Amino acid sequence: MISTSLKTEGEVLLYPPTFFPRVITLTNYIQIASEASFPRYLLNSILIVVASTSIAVFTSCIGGYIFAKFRFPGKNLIFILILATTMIPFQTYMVPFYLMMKNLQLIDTYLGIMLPLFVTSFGIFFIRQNSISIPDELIDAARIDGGTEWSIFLNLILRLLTAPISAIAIFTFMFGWKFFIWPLIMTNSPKKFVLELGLTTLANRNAMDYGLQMTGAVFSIIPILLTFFILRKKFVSGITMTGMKG
Amino acid sequence: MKRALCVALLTLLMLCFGLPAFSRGQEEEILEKKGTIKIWVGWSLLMDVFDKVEKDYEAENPGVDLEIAAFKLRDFEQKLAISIPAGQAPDIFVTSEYIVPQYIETGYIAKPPKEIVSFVESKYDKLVQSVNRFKGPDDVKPGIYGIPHIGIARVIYYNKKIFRESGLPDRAPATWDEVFDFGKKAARYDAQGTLERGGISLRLFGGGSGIAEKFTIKLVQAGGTLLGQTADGKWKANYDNQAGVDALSFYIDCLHKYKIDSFEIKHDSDAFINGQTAMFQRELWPIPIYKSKAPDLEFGTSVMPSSKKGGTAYSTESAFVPKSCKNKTLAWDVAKYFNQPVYLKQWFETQGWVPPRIDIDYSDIFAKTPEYKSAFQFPEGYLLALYPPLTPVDEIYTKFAERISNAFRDSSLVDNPAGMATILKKAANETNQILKDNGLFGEGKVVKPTWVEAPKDIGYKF
Amino acid sequence: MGYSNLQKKKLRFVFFWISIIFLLYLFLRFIPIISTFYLSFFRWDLIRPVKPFVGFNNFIRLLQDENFKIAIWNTSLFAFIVVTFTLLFSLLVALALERKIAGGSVFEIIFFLPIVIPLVPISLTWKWIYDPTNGVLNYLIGLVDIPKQGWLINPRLSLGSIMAMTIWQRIGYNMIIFLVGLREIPAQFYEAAKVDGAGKWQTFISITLPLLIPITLYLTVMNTIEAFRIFTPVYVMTTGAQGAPASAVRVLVMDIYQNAFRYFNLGYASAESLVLFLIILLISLLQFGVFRKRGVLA
Repeated sequence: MISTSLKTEGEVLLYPPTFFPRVITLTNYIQIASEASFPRYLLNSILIVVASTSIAVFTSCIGGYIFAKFRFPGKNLIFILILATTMIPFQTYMVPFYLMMKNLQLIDTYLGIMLPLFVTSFGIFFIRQNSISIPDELIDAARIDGGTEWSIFLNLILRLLTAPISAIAIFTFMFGWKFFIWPLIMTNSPKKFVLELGLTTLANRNAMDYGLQMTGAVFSIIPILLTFFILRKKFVSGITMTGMKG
Repeated sequence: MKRALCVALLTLLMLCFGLPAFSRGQEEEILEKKGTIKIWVGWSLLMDVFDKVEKDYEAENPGVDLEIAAFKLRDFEQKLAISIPAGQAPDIFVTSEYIVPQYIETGYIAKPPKEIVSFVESKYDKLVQSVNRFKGPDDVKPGIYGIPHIGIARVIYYNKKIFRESGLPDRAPATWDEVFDFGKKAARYDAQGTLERGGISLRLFGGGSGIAEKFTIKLVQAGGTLLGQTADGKWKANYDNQAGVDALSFYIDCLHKYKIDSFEIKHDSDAFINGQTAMFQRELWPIPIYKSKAPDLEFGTSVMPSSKKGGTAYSTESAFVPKSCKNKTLAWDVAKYFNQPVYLKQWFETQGWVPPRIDIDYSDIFAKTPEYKSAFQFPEGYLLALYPPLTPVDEIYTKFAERISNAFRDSSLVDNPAGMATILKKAANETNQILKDNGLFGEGKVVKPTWVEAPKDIGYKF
Repeated sequence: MGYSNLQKKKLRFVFFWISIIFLLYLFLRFIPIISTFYLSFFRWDLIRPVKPFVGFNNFIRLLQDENFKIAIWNTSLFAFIVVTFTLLFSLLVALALERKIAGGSVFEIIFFLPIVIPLVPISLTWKWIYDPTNGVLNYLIGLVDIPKQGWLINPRLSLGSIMAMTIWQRIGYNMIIFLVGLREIPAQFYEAAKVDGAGKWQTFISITLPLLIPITLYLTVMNTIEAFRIFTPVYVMTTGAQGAPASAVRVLVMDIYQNAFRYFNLGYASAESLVLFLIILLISLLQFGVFRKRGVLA
């Protein structure tokens, strides 16, 4: 994919094909980046994904921690219900959700695009798995020291959970970044297009220009790869904790 | 706690479903050039010219903001289906006659003002006018609902260089027998006998109705159509007959008897540009792409080869204004604006989309790109298969496509008309069931296939 | 005895945040999902304004629907093969790597990239690998004189091709989880086995495998759910003139999607979703049941 994106237009169509570009060209990248609306799409994406990821990470942490460390009536039922929602693909309940959005007048708004990303069952499950191993004594000691539940969560738990939080952050970021179908349905004005939506259109405008289409695809995964490389160590140790204490 | 929860739940439910729809704005009669007009397009290729339209219109009318967005065709259909019934439609959308009937029938689309109707009736070719008549919920007879934007006829492409090398004449095959003959001479195989260069590239796979649309081309040449009207004006499958068997055997023969196409090679426009097939059938849009991206590709286009009859598939794209549009007068003004000759000629010249206007002189474009001509110089008795103006047409086409593409792979169908008839009969049962479910099925014989005879002179200046 | 101050504080904290999470779920998931199930009792056409109640009609029609049967069969086959081979391969790789690699960055990148890169670009890349004329795969098998294959186009190969891609994509994650499991097995167990004179194979059967069962259960359930929800690769790979034949790779979510957004029969698609949900639920419960019966789960 990266190889094709670096090829000249002529070479992409060569037959028999070349595996690596003979001449490396950045024309495709320049063409996409110089598209007038490109910065706008990028900004929209960043805004939407960063905001929703932060919220999702927070809801996962507080939810996962509570499910791991507290007892309250209905706990198991709620937890199972939350997990059960992962069994249903989003596409199947998208239309009823859209009608709700319409009644709340949230169509074509940033909030409306972000909303479905505010919670993630995998996140809650993942943080719960990781919180179980936090010793109760540690939390009780903090309580005896006079910490409120909120300050314990904020100052103790979150600090202990940095690795799984990075993993969840990357997962949600990744999911949000490639979340195509909902922004497609929700956005009516090109000004609010996310990158993915804009790139699809852009690639489509150049039928049969596969180099440009591949460039679009590469462009759209760059932010994810960047995040991954920055948070790699944390992410890896976060993932390796999931399988535990099943 | 439980009660509080119940109350919260109920309130939420009411919030989500109970709110009444907001009242629609008053219809505005006076043209006030202020506000935003949203336009959605299902063909991203149209956007280059639309960008110019946007710039020009906004410069001439500083109070108006045009927001033109293009989507992938399937995404676009989906977006329309969700947003139009929800009252979230754009102010103008450009789409084909196989998508729009369901919205017109259910009353979501606004009728154009008289001025627009007479504009369409006087400036557009007869063909596109007859295709573009729809019946709304309050209509006695079908009428004009949108401004036709482009007319699309499918042609056959042939690679001149391959033809020359294979000792073939410099013209497309005129009959099916010639297709087989030319195809056999042009095809190349590798050492293991695998097809390397196809004689003709047929549409064999890929999701969706495209397969059925291309099949229709062969069907009409064999004397059938996918659907036909019965005496009572209702509908019925019209391919479970000799014509259907003939059309299917064309595919089977190409694949399994003469082996001039196969499942193992690249297909369609991509194969043609690489010289991997000698012929294929498509709309006109690849022409400008070939000219700019593969200047060495020598190719010609022609009307389709014929069997019992000559013919091809024909469809259009038009601009519609939904009822939910707040400022319809302005929307129609914009629609008329982008249907000016200056933009239409650009669409034609640079993108290969032919605006079906008889008042515009296209002779310079035809002179420069003669490959466009063949799409509209119809021989005597040439038939154009149309999309039936029915709501479930896409479902019928897609489901039929799936059955037929399964049949393509069945080599036992070579010279086996009974086997083909069985497959077509089963498919026709499915088609008729969909029609029944929609209250459209008619008993009795098909009296009117969904084709029209092509006008001898479409009215363009060549 | 009333609640102590501490407990009251705890409860207040829990109640406040759980209510928020619950309300979010209610609004963002439960209500839309329940309304979807509710729609399955109607002839709910996306476009037509009249949406009559039809009782169980949609479900009865499903039973007679060939596409639905093909989809169920394809999806089950897909899930069975993908889950089995993913687990098998990732366990083998994990065993091979168990003590050799400490976690070098090359290793991390190789195994983590398929997890991190989203499915759409992955599918696009594989579509190119599988391409009949330009694809790497046909080039490679051409080197050993195997004729070119239409990996995605040939209906006998297309589902398998997508399975292979999915297995490749999943191995990384599963392998890592297995690796963690292997490393958590206390060394004393192995030493004890050695003292008892157990061979390598015996040790594996009697110590490693039983101790990996909780992890295997977790992975089986997660992978099965994921496999039943397969959609993106199929959607990407069947689109367009170079795509796979739809019926050969028809999977449940694809069929639901088509009924809902191509034919706009939302009620019918909802009935299908409900069936999909029940299937996944049943299989997950069954898997838990089987493992529990064997007494490996406390």
